[in-house]
Amino acid sequence: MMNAIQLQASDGQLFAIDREAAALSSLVHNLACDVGIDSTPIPMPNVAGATLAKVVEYCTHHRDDVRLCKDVADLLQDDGLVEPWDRRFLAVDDDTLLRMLHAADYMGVDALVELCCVAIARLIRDLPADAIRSRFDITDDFSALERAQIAAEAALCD
Amino acid sequence: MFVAGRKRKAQQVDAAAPGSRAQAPTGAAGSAPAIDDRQCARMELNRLLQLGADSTRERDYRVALDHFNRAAALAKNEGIEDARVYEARSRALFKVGDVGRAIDDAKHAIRANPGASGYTCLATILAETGKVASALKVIDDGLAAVDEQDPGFAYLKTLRMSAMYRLDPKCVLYLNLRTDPAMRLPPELVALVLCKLDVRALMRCRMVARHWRALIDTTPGLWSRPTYVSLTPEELLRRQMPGYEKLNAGLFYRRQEHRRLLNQMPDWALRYIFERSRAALTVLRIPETRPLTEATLSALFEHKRPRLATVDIDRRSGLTIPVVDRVLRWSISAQLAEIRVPYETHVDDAMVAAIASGAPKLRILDISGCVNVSVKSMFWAWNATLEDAQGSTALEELYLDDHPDVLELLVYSTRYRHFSGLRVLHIGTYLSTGITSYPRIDRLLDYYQRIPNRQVPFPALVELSICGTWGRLARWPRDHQVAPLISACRLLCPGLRRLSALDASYIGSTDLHEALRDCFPTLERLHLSDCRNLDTQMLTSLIGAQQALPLTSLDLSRCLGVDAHGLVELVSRCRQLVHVNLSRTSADNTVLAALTEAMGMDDAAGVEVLLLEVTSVTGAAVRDFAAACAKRCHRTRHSTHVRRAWRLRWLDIDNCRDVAADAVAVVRDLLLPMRTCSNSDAATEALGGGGDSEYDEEELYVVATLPAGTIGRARSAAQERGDGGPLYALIDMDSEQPFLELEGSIYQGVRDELLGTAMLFDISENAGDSGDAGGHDAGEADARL
Repeated sequence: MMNAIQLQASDGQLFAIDREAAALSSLVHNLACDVGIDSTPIPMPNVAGATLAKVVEYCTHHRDDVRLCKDVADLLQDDGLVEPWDRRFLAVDDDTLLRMLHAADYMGVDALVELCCVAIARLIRDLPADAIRSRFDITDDFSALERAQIAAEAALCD
Repeated sequence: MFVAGRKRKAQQVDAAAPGSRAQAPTGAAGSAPAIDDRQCARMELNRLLQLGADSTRERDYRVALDHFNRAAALAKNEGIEDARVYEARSRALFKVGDVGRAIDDAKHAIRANPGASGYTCLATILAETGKVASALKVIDDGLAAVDEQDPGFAYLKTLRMSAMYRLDPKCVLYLNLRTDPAMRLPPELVALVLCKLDVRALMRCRMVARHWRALIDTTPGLWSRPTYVSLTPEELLRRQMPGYEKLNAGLFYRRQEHRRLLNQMPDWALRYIFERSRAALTVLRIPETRPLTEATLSALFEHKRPRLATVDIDRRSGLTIPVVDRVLRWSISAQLAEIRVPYETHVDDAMVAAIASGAPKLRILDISGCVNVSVKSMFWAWNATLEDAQGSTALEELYLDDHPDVLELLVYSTRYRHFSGLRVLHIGTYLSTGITSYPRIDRLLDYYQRIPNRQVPFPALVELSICGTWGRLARWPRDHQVAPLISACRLLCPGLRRLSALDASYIGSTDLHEALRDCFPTLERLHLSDCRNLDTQMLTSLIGAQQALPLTSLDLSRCLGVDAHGLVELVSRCRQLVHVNLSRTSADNTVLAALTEAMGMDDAAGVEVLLLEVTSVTGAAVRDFAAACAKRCHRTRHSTHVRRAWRLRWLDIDNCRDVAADAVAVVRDLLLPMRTCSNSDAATEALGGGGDSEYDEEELYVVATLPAGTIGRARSAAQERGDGGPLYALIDMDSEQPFLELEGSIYQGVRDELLGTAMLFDISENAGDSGDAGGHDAGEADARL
């Protein structure tokens, strides 16, 4: 591919991404524009191969999207206008999701950051506290006194 | 739903605030609302940090750095030791590539306040520049120094594992990492996730574990700004298209009149926000809601709110008279900068006097439609606060729409300087039922004649709205002097940027020329509809020798006196046009060609909203225009120079006789990638039938009231075309707030009983729908009128 940029993951894997798709990532875009890297791969020391593959997949799928202006992005953030493709894309385990959010933040793919945040929020949104604890393997470290206090505060909401 | 804004950096910055606030003198919470210099400096510092955080969010790091530099200079001058400043600057410096200074700043931040976020900042910079070993050392120092209760502590631990893994990939610890988001994600990302939860979910999350509770409680962005916006279609459109509301102010107004009180804001949510935000509350905005309960009010009044700067009570808030009175009296303090109580008829002279004397820093006052406030007493009230009778008050924005005394305000202001500092003045007349005629016009004219050396009343005015005042107020025969009086007061002064004067039918041509002459070269927004005395000759003389006009928003709808040549003259000199409304004018193909030509130029701003209802444009010209738009959209998307993606948002060619259905189809195809909302009779038919003629005008922007079966047809049309693009989507059908996305616009399903409109959504589950992501991508929608 003439117009491709090479990205190198932390474990040495190489990924080709074309310029249009790379423009979604402000980090890669800036590096490619300012530094003008042509054939040498851009190292992504913080992103593992499997995660980078997902991010590249996302950027490639969304390269032709109309970039939403800030107002609209703000609008969508709450309930995240999730397209079918995105929903399938997000059907991954929690660990991958968190890594993807990390990678998207590092690479500056704003839309993917939003998407991952919405996905995580949706995991949490409808669960009661003990279900959240068991899902994410968190230990309940409250004392009895604190628990009573929090329950009293929560009662405000009903 | 909770709209808290994407304040990731801001929240993180604020998260560190309790530590620094503890150093502040606690006297601020005392009874005296007095404010010292140091507190002022602190507020300014917070403002700069906020600005910087906003820029960081926009990934405009150089601007952010500029703000942080100013914040650092201010902190140094005032002797405030604030770790947040250095931490934020450090991150910005790192982003612009100045690693050395970034590390220095991070170290400074740690010295100032040894919190987890400082260590996190330094360690991240070191790790990302390859110095993993030193990063690990910093993290270990941090873990030793930071209290376990610190919300960033858990993340620091994760960071340590990550760094160890970088040093030695065989380290198994990392692979066994838990998936707890609060531990795995940096605080700013956690804050982003939390923004997307509603109050109820946040409450449940607080019960999960200590570090979760600490995270949620130290993210005050979640609680301190109850900008709990109820999203109605108008609201959405307004936010999607800045300026569109103004373009159609009259229409919007009428529609809002019909809107029933919607119970959008649950009482418990408000109560909890009041409970949590405590002294951090800066904005009190009571949206349309069901009447507040006593418990909620006591939660509001329970705490001192020393930072409260804005009080905004929606006219449909459902508050009773004593409650509004109580809220206002309680909130009046020296800090208050903005009060909005439109259409509260019981706000009276005494209340205005209390506001004037109690809130000397008040900048924005909205008492539109408060008919029991007389303008004379306003002058008295502010006069009492002035030391010098010729001085002016701090008031900068005054909204007095639908007020019976607007003329008195103008006349008195030519004599007294009380409100000469005004930058924004709205004296529109929308409800003609309220004010049928002006009884005191003769006496007022008398008085006006006798004022010695009259002055320009508002020399600093930037924005003026006199929608309807030139037309509606002057419609009764005996008030025919109203329009000349407004012009004689020289309201439209040089330097005016935004003028809205919809429905300006009764102004004479000499008056109009007089009025517009001074301000025309600086106008950025000109909304002048129904102006029967505006003709081509006057327009050309107004344009004069100006080569370029700064107009961005132009509305000349129903001004039939201007011919196509005049419009071309005007349009071709305005390179910055973004919103254009030339409905029911003599606009023809030559005007559209001028707009099309501007589309091809990179220095032109590019029209985003274009309304050409009932004009003589032809299908071919519209097609050329759409093609130019598509080309421009493609160009701007791939250009590195343009920061903001451009797209045509709205094209209205309703009732244009010379635009055939096939041309509309071509235009739609051209505009589809931009997700433009286009309107035309033919297009609506293609989508499945036109709207009820009675509501035709209003359906311009409320597409959600489409007839039954529309969505299904739109969907199959998309499939036939085979482009597969998402023409529409139905979101969150399982919740109480279903959304419908149609051609790039998002509508919330609402039940409006007064109009008898019901939206019924018949959901058919898609097999490929993954359960946890929620929402349904396919469905049959059935909306009936």
